[in-house]
Amino acid sequence: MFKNFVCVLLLSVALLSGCQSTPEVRSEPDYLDELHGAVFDPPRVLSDFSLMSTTGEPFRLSEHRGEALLVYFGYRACPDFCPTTFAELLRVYKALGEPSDRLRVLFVTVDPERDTLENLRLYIESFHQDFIALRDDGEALKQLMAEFGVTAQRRQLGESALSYLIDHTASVFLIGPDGRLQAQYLYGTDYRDIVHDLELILETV
Amino acid sequence: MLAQLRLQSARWYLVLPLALVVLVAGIIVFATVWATVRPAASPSGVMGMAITMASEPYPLTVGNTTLLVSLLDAAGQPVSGAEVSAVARMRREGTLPLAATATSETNGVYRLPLTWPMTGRWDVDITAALPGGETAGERFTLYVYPVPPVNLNARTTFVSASELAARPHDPLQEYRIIIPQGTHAEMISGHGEDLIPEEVHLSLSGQHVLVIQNDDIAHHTVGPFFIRAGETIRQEFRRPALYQGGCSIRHGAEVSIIVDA
Repeated sequence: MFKNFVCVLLLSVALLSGCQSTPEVRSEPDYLDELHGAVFDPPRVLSDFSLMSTTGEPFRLSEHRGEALLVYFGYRACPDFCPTTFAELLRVYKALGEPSDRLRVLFVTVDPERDTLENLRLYIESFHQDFIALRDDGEALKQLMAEFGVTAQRRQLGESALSYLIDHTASVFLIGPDGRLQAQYLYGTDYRDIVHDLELILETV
Repeated sequence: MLAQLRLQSARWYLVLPLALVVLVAGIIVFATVWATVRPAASPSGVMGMAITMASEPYPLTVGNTTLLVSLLDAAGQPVSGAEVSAVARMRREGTLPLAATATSETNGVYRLPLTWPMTGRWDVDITAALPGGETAGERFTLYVYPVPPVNLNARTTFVSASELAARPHDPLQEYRIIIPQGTHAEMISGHGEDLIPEEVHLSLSGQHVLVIQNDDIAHHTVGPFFIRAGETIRQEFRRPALYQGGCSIRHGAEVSIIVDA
């Protein structure tokens, strides 16, 4: 008899708990609170930028809704931050199983004077053939950098064949499947933190 | 008789759980409704009363302006018939306080004409004598600009002391930086105080979460972070680190963020 009592009680409580939980209406993705990167609240709305890419076609943001985008601003001749960051992004991409249909890794050059689309393609594909570089030498690049808060400043070199280096923001930015800027990964972030976040996001894609 | 007793005892295990369920359901419904409608404790002094403030123009500028004070009761309904007044004190010694009273009201929004003599940061204390005899109050700290500025913040009301107090914050784990309205203007004018020290020290065993809330009408940079007007950025650090960079909330224009083990 006691066993029956417990069964009926548990069943009733289960039914009750099912009834009282009403679906919560949220405008932001649930995973935002769990991200390991620096999270933007609210996620930053970006303009529908369009830059020429190493695929041979313009890359327009609105055509990539439903995908996660990792965006990095750098330049091909960068001796330190850019290659080390992309070595880490390669680890991220491989750790996720190279999900080319749901994740794009983008390199935006801040040195369009020296970085042509052709040498950018050679550069970016040396990391992975799925990675894409974007280039613009006008207002589109300036506006994009302003929206991300990215800075890039030339530093002249005396006798070097490089002529100049560029001091630039070295963060990786995450654009979520909704097309908004959701997180920032500072230089030196462990690649596993980025993998953690992308696994959460790609589950929703 | 015996059969009746046996039938009754066989039913108790059905009736008792159902009674318990009804009781629990009642408690849950009551708690849910109470949590929804109960008046929140408010620094206004009146339970559930919400006082918000906008202005014409927004943000405020030196010269003739109008404060728009909105009163909402605990149910979110406009409160009419109150006597609303304001006292503004500049955060600079030697400046006389300003006073204003509402000259008109529409649907719970009270208009208080006020002429600002000087640019700078002001504390505005709003007092509302309600029709029921109670008095509610709220403080707004705002910046009066010399000329109409470019407002990059989508927000059109001032941040109140109640709003600041209600924002979630765990001081044991979070190092929080709030950038108030007018910070950019103060920095370029050479006035105002540094909002943060030259070195921000965090610790993985203590304050290891950096939260930056930008209430200003301008975008700001704090080391590696660019925070747009109205935006909050939250970074939980998991490893020791050192970041150096430009800083728009310090006169020195540079900051180091140091994360210790």
